[in-house]
Amino acid sequence: MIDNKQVCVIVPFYNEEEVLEKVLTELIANNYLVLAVDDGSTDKSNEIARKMNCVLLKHPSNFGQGAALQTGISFARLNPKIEFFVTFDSDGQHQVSNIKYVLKPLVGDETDFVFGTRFQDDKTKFPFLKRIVLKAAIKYTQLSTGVAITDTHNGFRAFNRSAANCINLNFSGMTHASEFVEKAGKSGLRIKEVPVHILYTKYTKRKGQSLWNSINILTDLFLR
Amino acid sequence: MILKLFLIISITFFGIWLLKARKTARVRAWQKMIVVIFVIGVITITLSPALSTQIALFFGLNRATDVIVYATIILLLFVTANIYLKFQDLHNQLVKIGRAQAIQEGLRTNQNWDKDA
Repeated sequence: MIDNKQVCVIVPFYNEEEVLEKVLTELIANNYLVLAVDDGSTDKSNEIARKMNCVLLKHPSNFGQGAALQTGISFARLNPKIEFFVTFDSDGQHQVSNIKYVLKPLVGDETDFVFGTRFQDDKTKFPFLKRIVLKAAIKYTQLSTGVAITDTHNGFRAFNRSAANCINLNFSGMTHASEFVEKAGKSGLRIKEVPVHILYTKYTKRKGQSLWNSINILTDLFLR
Repeated sequence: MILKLFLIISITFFGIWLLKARKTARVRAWQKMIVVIFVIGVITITLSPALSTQIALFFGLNRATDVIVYATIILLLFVTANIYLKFQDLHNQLVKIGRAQAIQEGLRTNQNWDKDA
């Protein structure tokens, strides 16, 4: 058993006023230490997060999700009481109930880094085109990083302190997903995948990552 | 003659600007070589237009115009990539400053965050 206060759930957000309160409330109700990172929101998201019982960091401008995650990780590392780190999307597509599943292999010291996967069960219902683009992106990341995991572009991840110390993301935008895999692989960390359920709603489809971003990610990886 | 002078001056200033664009040693060395070759090439062709036809024939092209168009496209791609990378560098520096500011503010508002007890 672990004390949920040893678990820091990092929630980067940008203009999520419609769903942020619900997402943060559920995390806080489960006694996790919630670290919300405002990536330069221009709506009422910051105001909402400020009223919640969570730690709030704010970027002065919109730098991208990768940058917000790294800010959260860098800040969380400073707290010696935190043993485990979870990255969690703010748009409501991740399920709080799944956190215990991604934490389990870490608590048992079976692994250093857990990647949530949507491809080891059939709980996640993908839009058709998204499944195809994701499969292609995953194949590319597997080939370029040499890490054979089934879902490289899932934002639901958990890792221990030694893994957190190895993560230093350079990509500010959505390319950070490939970078997580690459850095975890190159650092020689023990990696494991755990099935998680991602809920695609009208809102998450509208707010989530555009498929066009796959072109931006490829450009970033090519030109770095 | 005024146009030729304009071309030579502008290409020289362009070369100076490009030389200052990036900082790593290898990239800077490549930039210097490209700029020197390009500047010498443009000055030579400007002063001796017949040479461009000979270059075109050397490269298997019929028209001197094609050589200039291709060279310009290559240079444009080079400059575009250079600007893109420079913007990336600046963005990354900005992110580091923004992150340091966010963390500092976070530590100020959560005073026991980095304390063991």
